[in-house]
Amino acid sequence: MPDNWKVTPGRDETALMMEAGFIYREARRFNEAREVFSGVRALQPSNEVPEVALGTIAFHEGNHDAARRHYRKALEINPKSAYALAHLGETEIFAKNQEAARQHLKKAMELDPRGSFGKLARGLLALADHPVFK
Amino acid sequence: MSTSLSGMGNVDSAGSIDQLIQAASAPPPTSSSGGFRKVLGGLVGGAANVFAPGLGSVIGNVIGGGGGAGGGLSGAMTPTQALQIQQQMTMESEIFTTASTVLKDRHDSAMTAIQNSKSS
Repeated sequence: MPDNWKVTPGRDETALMMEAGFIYREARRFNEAREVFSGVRALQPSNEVPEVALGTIAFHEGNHDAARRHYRKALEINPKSAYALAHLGETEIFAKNQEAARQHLKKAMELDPRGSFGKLARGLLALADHPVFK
Repeated sequence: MSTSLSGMGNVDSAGSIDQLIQAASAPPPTSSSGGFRKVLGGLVGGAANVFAPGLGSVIGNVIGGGGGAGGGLSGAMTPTQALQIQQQMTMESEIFTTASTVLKDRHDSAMTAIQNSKSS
């Protein structure tokens, strides 16, 4: 973003943009979703959430490598992001790296034992342990 | 020891789970999968793929009987075949429950992430 742009969105506006991005993603309009999340990332470079969201788009497109890159970048921004770790674990399950998946998911559960990210990680761990994924 | 679950790679043996998988993956005497199961597998697999790429093909294979496993629902059935189908249905039910929970948790975590954006 150019330096002379003084765009400072409010918290509600950021949340609204994120929500719009997720709706685009669920509608499988990945290009629009990517554009929205990239915009939020430009506005909030210290927030790992839009980076994770970009990773989930890559995951939905079946691009595990790109998804991994986004999640790792998110973890550079916030090394204790249970959100990024849970989704990184999800990607590893489907990339058939079960051991790596377990490590990331367990760490996400440790970081967010009672929250929704920890719950997601627990569910994914159960999925990873299911015989059909072994 | 490992057993092959149709279309889903190898499954390591582990006690009763292994027996379940072996029973579910063993090809029954009749040759073809039931048409209904194939169609249902395709439909549900396609729907699951919308939410989780990769998951759809796994679910579809489980329901549809994949590459030759699964006796199908048509024609006469021996007690052994009926038991195999029952065990397969149990496994399908398990994976559906787990996958459905994950889909809900994924939605909840996205909502939390949005809330976190609000408060950060």
